Amino acid sequence: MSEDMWSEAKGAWKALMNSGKPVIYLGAASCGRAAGALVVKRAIQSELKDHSIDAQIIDVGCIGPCFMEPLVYIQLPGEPPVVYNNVTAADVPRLIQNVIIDGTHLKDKAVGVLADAPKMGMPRFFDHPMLAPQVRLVLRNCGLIDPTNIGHYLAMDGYLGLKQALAMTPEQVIEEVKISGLRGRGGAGFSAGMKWKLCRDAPGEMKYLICNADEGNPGTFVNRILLEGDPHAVLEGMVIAAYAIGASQGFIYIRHEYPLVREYVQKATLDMRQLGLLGENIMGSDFHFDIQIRRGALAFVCGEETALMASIMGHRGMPKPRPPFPATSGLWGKPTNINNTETMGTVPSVLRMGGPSYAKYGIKGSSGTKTFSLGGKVKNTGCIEVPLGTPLKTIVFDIGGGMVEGKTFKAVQTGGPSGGCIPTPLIGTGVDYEQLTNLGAIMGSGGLIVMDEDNCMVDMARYFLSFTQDESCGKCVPCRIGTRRMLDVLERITRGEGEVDDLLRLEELCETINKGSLCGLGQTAPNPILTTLRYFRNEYEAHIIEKRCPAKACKALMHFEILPDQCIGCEECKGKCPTGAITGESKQPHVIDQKRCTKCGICLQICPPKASAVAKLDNEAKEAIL
Amino acid sequence: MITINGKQYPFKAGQTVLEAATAAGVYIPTLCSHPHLTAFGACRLCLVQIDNVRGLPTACTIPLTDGMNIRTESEDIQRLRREIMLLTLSEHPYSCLVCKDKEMCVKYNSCTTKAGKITGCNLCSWKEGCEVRKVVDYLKIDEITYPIHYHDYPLERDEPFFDRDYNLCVLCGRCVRVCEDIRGIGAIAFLNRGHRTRIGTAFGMSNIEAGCVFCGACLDVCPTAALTGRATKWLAKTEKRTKTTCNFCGVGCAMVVEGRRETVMRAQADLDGPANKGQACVLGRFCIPPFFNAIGRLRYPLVRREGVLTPVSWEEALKAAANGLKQYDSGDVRIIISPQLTNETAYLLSRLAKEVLPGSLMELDSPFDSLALRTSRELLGHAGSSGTLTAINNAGSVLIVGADLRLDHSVLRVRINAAHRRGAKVIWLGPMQPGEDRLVDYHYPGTDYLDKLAGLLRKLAHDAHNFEGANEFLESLVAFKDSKESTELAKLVRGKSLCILVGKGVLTDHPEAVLTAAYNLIVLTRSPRGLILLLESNSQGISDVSGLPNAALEALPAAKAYYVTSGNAEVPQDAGFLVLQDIFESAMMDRADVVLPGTGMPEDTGTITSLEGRVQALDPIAQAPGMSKPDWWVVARLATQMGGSGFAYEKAEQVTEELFKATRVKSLGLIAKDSYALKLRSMQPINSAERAPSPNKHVHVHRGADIVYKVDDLRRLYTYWGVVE
Repeated sequence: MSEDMWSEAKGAWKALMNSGKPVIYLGAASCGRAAGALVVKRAIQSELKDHSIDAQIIDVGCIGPCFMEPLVYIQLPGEPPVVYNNVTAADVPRLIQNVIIDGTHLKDKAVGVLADAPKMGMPRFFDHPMLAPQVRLVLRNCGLIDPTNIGHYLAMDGYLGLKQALAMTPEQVIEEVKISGLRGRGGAGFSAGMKWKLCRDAPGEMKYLICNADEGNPGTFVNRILLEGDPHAVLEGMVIAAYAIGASQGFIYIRHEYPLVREYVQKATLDMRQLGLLGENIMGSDFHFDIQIRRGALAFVCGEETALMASIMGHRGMPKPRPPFPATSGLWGKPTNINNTETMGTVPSVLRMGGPSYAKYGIKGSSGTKTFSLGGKVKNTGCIEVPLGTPLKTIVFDIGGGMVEGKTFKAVQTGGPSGGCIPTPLIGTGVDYEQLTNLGAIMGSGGLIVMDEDNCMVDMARYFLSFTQDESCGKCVPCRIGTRRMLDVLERITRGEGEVDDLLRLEELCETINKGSLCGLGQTAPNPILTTLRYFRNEYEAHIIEKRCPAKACKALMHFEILPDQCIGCEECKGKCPTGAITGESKQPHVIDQKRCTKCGICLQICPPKASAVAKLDNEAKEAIL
Repeated sequence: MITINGKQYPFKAGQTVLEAATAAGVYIPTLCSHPHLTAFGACRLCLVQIDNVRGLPTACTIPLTDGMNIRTESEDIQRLRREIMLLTLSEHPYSCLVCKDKEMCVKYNSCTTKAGKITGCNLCSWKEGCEVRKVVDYLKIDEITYPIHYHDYPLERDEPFFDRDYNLCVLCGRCVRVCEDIRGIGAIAFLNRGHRTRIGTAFGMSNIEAGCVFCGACLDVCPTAALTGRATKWLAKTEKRTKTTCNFCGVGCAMVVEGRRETVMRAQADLDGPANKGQACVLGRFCIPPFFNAIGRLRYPLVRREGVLTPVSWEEALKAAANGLKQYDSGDVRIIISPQLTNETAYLLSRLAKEVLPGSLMELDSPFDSLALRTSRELLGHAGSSGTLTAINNAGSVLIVGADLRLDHSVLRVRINAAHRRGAKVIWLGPMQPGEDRLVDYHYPGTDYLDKLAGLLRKLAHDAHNFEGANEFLESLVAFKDSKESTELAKLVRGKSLCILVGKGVLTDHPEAVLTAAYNLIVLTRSPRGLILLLESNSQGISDVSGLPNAALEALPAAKAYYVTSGNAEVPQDAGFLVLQDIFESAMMDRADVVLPGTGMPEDTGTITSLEGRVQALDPIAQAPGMSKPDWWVVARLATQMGGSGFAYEKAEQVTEELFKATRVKSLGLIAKDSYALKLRSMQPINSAERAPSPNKHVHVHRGADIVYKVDDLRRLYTYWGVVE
């Protein structure tokens, strides 16, 4: 019965590819939906009905370049799908008319074809500059299959990794993962195979497996993309891991803010049970394992493994000191193995291609590929996957397409609130565990935020620290009170009330918090401050000594002025100002009343480019203008 | 062997580094750890350096391994500890802690200002005990650069017994841990997170709504004055303290009481108390001073002259009492014994009854205790429980029948909680108060105790043929029916060691039969030490020294003259002569002919025996008011007055010595060598080497005698309506 699973699935997929009617794929992950994919979908459905067209619509996950969302790919009978970007409801009638009814390809709106080579006069979608340097192993199915259809996953050789694993002994599976060099993708980077071995060797019959899908770092969304695009990859990884360590019960801890993930995982586990891929006697073997879904409750700290386990057990999400480590004593005192979503999602590939093949990717010591959420001031934003060791330069300027609006690169922030920033001189650094740690940053779970000259590094440090302070569980003194004291200092500095001793205070506090905190949240909380102090000390000094923000971002240290020589008196800014701070007659230069101005920046955004009359100025410069 | 700061110490498995260091006499500062609580690792002060361990781990959480090399102090560690303490202090009113006039202030500013909001040590009620001060002194902190951050939480003073000022709280979490882990109630927890983290009840409930029973365990572990006992915090300095035993219920919690001049001022649980191990209940913890210091204490011997109770000298009062009682035939005199009387008083009363008023009857003023003691004597061969309180800790299932553990025997909840956490099934028969359900796995609210227990016995009856009396036992079960509950109960109880706690609620439903059923249950489940009778105060001791009770209360004939030691006792209206010996005014005084003022627990010297048979000492801290005299003295002098001989005792210890030789207290196998009677009064722990080998593996070092009475095996089943001969 199991054997037929794959041939049946592959047959169905073949039928889909050779469908006699058009197939329309819609990028309907949360990013797509946020961009308006469901509105576009309704427009498509209505348009198809109006024209009495019989076409199939398939919701797929995110294929990577979120800045292109909503993405729609249309596959005409006998042809590969053609990808269209930034589709709006207004575009739909033209799209349906030209592509489906007329059979042309609207090449001006197309990004490329989903095929092995350029076709029909269009480039390959995956040859786009953002996608070409990427190596998509764990993301291989995202955006190409229906995440709620287990048949699609099976057609893509899904669960063959599990089949392979069940044909080996658990020890052999662990060895395979060790050879692959797979390191924890959640940030700590501990060898996955070694962690599995520790758990397997721990005494006790009852063992637990946990997949950490809490992904709390602001700016990181790679786990979401994977679970919304290819949930079975993660679940198959969990079953393989459970087999390897000898666990009979698994939990996937999904953060509260990912309802779509919950829905997809629920469907996926139901489908798995029906096909004998979960539950008793998996694939006919004598291995029993089942997965329960547990929902988080808006706490970043519950991404920390001991706090996560406390949360699963129904306790307050506060971390516990280690030792004992979860591998020997975790959930309810039993040996527990906990891995990040991406680590789990990589496991099936490792088993399918074999450890040595996986180890060929990446560099020595950091083998394989890693997903990153590329965001900030680059042109091409979204979820990417590159071999470890890829230089940051490549990611920012090739994959990311360079800076927007002709701005200058200043730094890239990695690892969220636990990470640090890498400045221009170090942009050649490769993304791997060791190099980034040496620079004071960490890889973390894969967030990359690119900054330009308009980003104030002090403010950025303050932002991340305020996040950490908010999310601190409150148990230990260095984190709960230390980060608060640091935030007090940073807030003073950004308000223009910095004192000469402040940098020394910050450095001392950083050391205390780093050495004294109980868990990773506190221990890494000083990182953003430490790296910005290391590479952008001049900005701190400007804030403290000159009371000036070099990026002109800190509101207390800058102000907006309308340059009278450039103002064309169009009254646009006057109309949009939320506090009515701008006065001036039509075709007369406008003036901002500084006492009313809240520095929201709307006037700067709205001023027509040909005028460009709104300037951001340092506060001393006020005297010069007047 | 392990190494601490260069010196070698023996390795003991199962210890943490902090425990090992403390045992070795090496001081490591800490605010959040506590010997009775699980390690928490929150204050981060106990950081140490250990070879081959990354970073600076917390000594309280790291398990000790053989060969460990530990450094508890170094420049780096001290600096880090100081920085962490400065952070802690930045949110605790620290002005006085770093004031340059600190020492002069303590020396000369003797009067603590009684302020509402505490903004410095000079206004705080707990300078002496504050652990923050201790750590500040150890780290020699004399300067803080952070501005004070005062949370300005409202002071919580709406509820009885203790105040809560969370502006002083250092979030050590001890109160949360003791309430949740040890008491099993969990009324308070950590709330919010980040800078707004604080301790409190869920959803803004009051403590009462949250299930708090005001046991004071949180106060006792709080390192600051965040939690303070309202009645005692502003009292003048205590002058003396001693260890005694609480007599409010039968558990026998060892307490440390403090006094000033002749008054008892404060009571706290004794950490080493064998029955209670540092835990107490609201009665023992907070109610001893207000109760015994209340208005309404009897102060003078009173004799009724011309219808009016008149203060007289002791000589006159004793004469009046003696003469009054002697007017009647001994057989018409009834002595009513309050469960709160000490062993010494009860012993002397029983001697008085036998020697001076032969034929007089004694009764124990507690219907349940009388019945339970009598019935257990028939069933077990001795009156009392069949085992000690460790039966609860070791049980696989705990069956609680007809009890109210909120105000009576409340400390037993701690043991039940420990058993529950270990996996024991807790089953409650009878009405249950709200808030008690956290401990209970299965609740059967009905008061049909006999039906439930009999139904359970029916399910276990297949085993009965192994025991004597099986046939009659099985026959007697025919009258009862099977039910869904009995099937459930059987599943919970079968195959595990059972502990049954029987309380006075069973008086409403064939109590003798219920007790017999409970006894049969421990026989059938082969848990011979599992029957615990929830007796009051010193009922067990009174029974041991006097042989009480000899007959059912209802079976006693009416008497004509009464010598009553409890103001609540039931005395018929037509009683001829009434001598009342008590400590409080009561309605009975309207009928009493003679009133003799006795003493209460903080004023008593003597011994009492808890419901598990543990004999513990009472050591006085206070002087009874007015002309009150110790109860044993009154009885002895009365007996002498009535012509008795051998009652000329000068000290309570003499009575103790005699009763240890003469009564069941010795014959039960309680190890009470003669020298013990003298040791009982001192605060020195008894040297365990002086004791005969105890079956207990743990060597307690405490004041009470050890319990070695063993019920090894019970081979006999009984029917419900009486003992089968």
